[in-house]
Amino acid sequence: MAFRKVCRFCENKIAQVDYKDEHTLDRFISDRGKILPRRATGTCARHQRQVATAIKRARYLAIIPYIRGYQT
Amino acid sequence: MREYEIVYIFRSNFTPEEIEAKLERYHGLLTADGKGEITAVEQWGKRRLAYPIQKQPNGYYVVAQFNSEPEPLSQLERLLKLEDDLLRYLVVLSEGELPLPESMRVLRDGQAGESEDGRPARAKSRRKDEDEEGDEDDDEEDEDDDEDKED
Repeated sequence: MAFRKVCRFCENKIAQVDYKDEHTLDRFISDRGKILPRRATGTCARHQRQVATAIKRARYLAIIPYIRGYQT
Repeated sequence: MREYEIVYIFRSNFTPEEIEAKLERYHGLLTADGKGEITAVEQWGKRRLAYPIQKQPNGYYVVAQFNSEPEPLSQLERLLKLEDDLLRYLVVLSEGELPLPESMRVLRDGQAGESEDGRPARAKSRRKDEDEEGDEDDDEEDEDDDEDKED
């Protein structure tokens, strides 16, 4: 994962991370569906908190999976 | 009065008209006292669920934004919990998100809007993060007031 100097939400002036936006959230979860740490994504503290909440909401709404790369 | 956003996931075997009728019933509870107001309804339509819910692989998504007092909202939630056709719902305080994210809008408009069904999406321009386009949205000012408070 390339090191990013600036948080991509700050860069794009996004005030609030949207839990419905699966394409954006997709970049912040691992191939197993885990929330990626800040050191991997370069997200600032404020937005990382928002990302975490957004991912959890999106999981509940079956927009993104709880676990990825696993089939029964 | 505060601003909320609700996401419904219905079973996918309904037509937009049937969904519409259900929504009308739900939203009637919120607007009954004359104070609550529905500001936006966006039917995403049928979507594949990231994991099955009640053994259903697909769900019918609807996002609505509204203003409400706490009491009608708890009445609505009580009703929703009893609905068998509703796989899931989520009520959150609206932080000014769009009812349909920009990236999904691009996707859908590419498909010539087959899920749209002439359903107009009101309050499309609620972006706070970009420069305020005052001419598009006249109720922007009063929406901002009660945003910062949390119960």
